[in-house]
Amino acid sequence: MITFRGVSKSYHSGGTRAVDDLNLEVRPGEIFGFLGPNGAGKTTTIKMLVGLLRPDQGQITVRGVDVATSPLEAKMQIGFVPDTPEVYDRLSGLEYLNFIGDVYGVAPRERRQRIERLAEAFELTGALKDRIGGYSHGMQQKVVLIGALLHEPPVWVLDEPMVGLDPRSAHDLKELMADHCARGNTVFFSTHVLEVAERLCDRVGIINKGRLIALGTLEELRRGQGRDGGGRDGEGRDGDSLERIFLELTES
Amino acid sequence: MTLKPSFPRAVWAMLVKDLRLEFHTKEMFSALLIFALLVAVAFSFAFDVAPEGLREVFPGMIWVAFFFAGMLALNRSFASEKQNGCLQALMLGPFDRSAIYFAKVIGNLLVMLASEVVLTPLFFIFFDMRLDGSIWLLAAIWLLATFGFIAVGTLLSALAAQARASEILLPIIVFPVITPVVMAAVKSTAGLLLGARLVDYAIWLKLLVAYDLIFLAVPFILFEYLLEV
Repeated sequence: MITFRGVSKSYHSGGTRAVDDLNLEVRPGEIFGFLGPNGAGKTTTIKMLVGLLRPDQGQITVRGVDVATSPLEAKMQIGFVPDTPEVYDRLSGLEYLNFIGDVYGVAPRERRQRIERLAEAFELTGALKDRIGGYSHGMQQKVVLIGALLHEPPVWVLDEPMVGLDPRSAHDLKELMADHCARGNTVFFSTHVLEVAERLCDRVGIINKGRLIALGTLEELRRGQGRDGGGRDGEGRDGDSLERIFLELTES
Repeated sequence: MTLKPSFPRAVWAMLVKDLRLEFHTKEMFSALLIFALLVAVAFSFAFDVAPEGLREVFPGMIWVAFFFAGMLALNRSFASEKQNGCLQALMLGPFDRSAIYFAKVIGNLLVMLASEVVLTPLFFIFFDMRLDGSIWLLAAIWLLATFGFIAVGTLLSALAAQARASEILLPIIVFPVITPVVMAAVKSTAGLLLGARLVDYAIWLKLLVAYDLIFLAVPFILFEYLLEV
């Protein structure tokens, strides 16, 4: 559903590569966790995936659509939630969502139903007519989430989606993610909360210094498979937490 | 049902959003109106010349007031998008990025024309001016000159918004580029108010039309790159 083939990006010509020769395939029906320390290249990768940055080399496709050559078609497939909510303080929640609905061409009837359903799920119904400027960080994050899901994109790209959400909303979002993937769609999300990744993800990828250093299910990573340089079966230990594997891999 | 991305729909959606924001805050409209009104009052006290002499300086005064006031509106145009990273959010939209420019141009044009509709009669009253020529021709000059100013100003406002001191930078880069619009607006207004034949100042109207057409076409090519600066 999402493929990265030999994708590289550096911010200064000849400088250090923020992302270096990334090869990755995220399958349909999969929740994929993208992990890495600060400055590892997660946000750069996500920005290339959603069409905000152009890779220096390589190709990214979303459901077979090349992000570089057919950006508009690719963007219609994606619902993106950034790590900080990008909203207009002086619009009400409903005005903002209607704006997003207009941009994506969601018909009024469907739009109303989806807004009602999602606002109910995130307990935002009562606040939709208030100005976004008066919302808490978590409420702003929720309204951005609803906006990103309004056109029912098959691919969700979420950058640190749990930040600012209260436990119930975080729980509801996890359920929505699982439900979305159960219908054959894909969720690609980055997080620093390793417990969430451990519990939620079908597979995880760990990036460090721009290189993908591990890729696989938690079980595979525990066994030492899928690690950069091959790894050896039995290198890890049964019961190793993702945190321990993460720390071990990103140590140097 | 989700429709395919469309350019006019994206322009319309962003225009409605911008007008809604302006309706809530009235930032641009009130800044334009108050500034131009203060200039009108200041000029009406400052100039103590015979009516014939006033007729010659009036076109310069009214356009200086409009363009300087318009600069305040242009400064706000992309500043609201920069706030909270909304410009980046717009760049994620499934439409050609020049749609952002055209929505901004139409929004700024509507706000500036609305304030000109209020201000023009006031300027005529303050300076005791009478319009002998066609009001439609006056409206055409107003529209062409305002569009030229807004088209260039909005394009450069997007560029300046990427800089730290954008509010200082914008007038510095806009005024040299809009010199032809200022000259053409003043000359054609003077021609109309002084009762000259249309053929005598038609060249300035043609200049305005050419300028407007160029800056209607250029953003289709340039705007995408401008946002990536």
